[in-house]
Amino acid sequence: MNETPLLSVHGLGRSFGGLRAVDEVSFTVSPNSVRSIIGPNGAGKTTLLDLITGFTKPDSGTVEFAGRPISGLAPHKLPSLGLMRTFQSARLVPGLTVRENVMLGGYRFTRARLLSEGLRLPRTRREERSLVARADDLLRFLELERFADQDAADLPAGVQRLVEVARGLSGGPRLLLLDEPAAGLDDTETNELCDVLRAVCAGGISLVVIEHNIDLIMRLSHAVLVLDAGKAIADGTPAAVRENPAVIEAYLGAKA
Amino acid sequence: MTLSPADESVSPATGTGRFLPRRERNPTGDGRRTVTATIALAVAVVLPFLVPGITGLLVVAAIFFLVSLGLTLLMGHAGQVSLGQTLFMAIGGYGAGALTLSWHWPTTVSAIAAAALSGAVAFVLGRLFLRLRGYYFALATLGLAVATQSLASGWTGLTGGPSGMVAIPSLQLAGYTVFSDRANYFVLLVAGILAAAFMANVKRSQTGRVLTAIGHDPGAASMLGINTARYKTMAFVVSAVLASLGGSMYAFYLRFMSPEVLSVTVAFSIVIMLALGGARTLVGPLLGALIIQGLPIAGQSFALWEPLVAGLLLIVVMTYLPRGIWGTFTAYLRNAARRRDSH
Repeated sequence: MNETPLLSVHGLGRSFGGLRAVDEVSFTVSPNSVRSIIGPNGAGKTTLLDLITGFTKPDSGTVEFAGRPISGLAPHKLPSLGLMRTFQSARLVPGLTVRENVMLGGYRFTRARLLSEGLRLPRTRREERSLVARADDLLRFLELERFADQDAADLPAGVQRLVEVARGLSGGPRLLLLDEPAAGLDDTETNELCDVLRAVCAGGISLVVIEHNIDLIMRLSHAVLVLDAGKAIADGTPAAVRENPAVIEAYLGAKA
Repeated sequence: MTLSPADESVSPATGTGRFLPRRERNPTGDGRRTVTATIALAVAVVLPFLVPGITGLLVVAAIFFLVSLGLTLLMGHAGQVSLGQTLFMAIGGYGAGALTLSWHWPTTVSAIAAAALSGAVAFVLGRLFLRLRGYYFALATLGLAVATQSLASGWTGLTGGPSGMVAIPSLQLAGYTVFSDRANYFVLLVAGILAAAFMANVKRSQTGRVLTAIGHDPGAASMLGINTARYKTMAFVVSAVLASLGGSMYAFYLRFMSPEVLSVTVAFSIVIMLALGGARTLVGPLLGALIIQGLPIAGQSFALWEPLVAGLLLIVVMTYLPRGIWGTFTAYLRNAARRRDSH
């Protein structure tokens, strides 16, 4: 995996008040790989994703995606470059069905404009049909098809998070950032998720996964970044990170 | 292959083209909807013949239905309240009036030109205002309503000042002069149905979903690639075009335009109609317009108290039925159906 990285983060940092939430963090994501980010609660994992996606403005550092600097870009410009993310607490749209939520993920493929939609011109019908087909394929792939017609807000949190994964995938990303996709899932569901994410990666989509489930991390990741109090304290293969004394003390040790 | 990475050639058009399962899963629900719509249409057609005395009121209600229907995308879906719709009614009313009176343009062309101007004004204002979040947008548009009333009285050269613009011609449609209450009513009935169908189509398409997503969580929406400012501006432009057409129809019907017709109170009442009926529904603006415009006939004696009744009604509905009357009713039906399914 010595190719040009798909994502490279250099010295990214951000303070809130006196607190250095993310402190000079650097890492890369190789094409076709799974990069995990772990660390105790409050280590700055979600803030790191927010900084990468421009959701929060960094006060230092740069981010390059596919060889192109993306720091300072408005978040809505990222999906068309091939970068999408999910949120720690699923942020689906209540009042829309699961299928409609996933169709929203394919937003960047739609060209139809208001007039065409209001008059229901063939072009809009065609687009709607293909968005539905794409959403249904993804729901089947994630074994969520039985929820397709339900209001997204009526589902358990774990299922909502999987729907968010489907929504992220429907944008056809090259890199998908997942914030705790396994939270709220039982062991069987977590195993299924692991298989799904492997298949996603095998299909050519790289992943950045924030996760607490160490077992999942170890099975899934090619590389693991460990954060503690905003700083990167380790970066390496899952096996190497697990043996790292600093990691054992900061994270695994604290948990045992 | 669904899971292929970003590649512009992998457009969703390569999907397996199956037909869209309609949003209504309940097949009897579709049938019931058709029956209800047919009955409603029949009532709407015979009403001016059965109760001729209320035709004038129905005309005004239909005009305000168009105006408040225009706001449903912006207010019901994107969650932005515009208190300034009278500006666009004024552009539609005075604009169409001036174009027909001074330049002798055909009435329909004048109305369309005024609507285009309204859309352009909304586009510019939208880019300025929609960067404002939450209630700042509402306050900025309230400013528009105040300015509109003041300009309508003060810009005498264009508007005729406080005494108004008089002798505006009636609408000419295919060589026919739409003069009587009844003729105006039927023109507006057709216009209302067309506008409602247009909005219904937009609501169930990507733009409708996108605006719903923006109203619920603009941050998450932007992460899906949605330019929230662009969509809110578009919804504002739609609201302006419909308000302008409503304003033009108002001018052709009254054959007169004056500052009172477009007062700040009227600007409020448009938002009240939508909130009362249900901002996210299509029937909501109709109900709201009928209730607010119908209040005066509930009793001539209480004409003085009418704003009080409207105010109290709004307080009660917003406190106990925040989705509006029709929104609450349809949500109740949906829940009942869901309970039936689960048994």
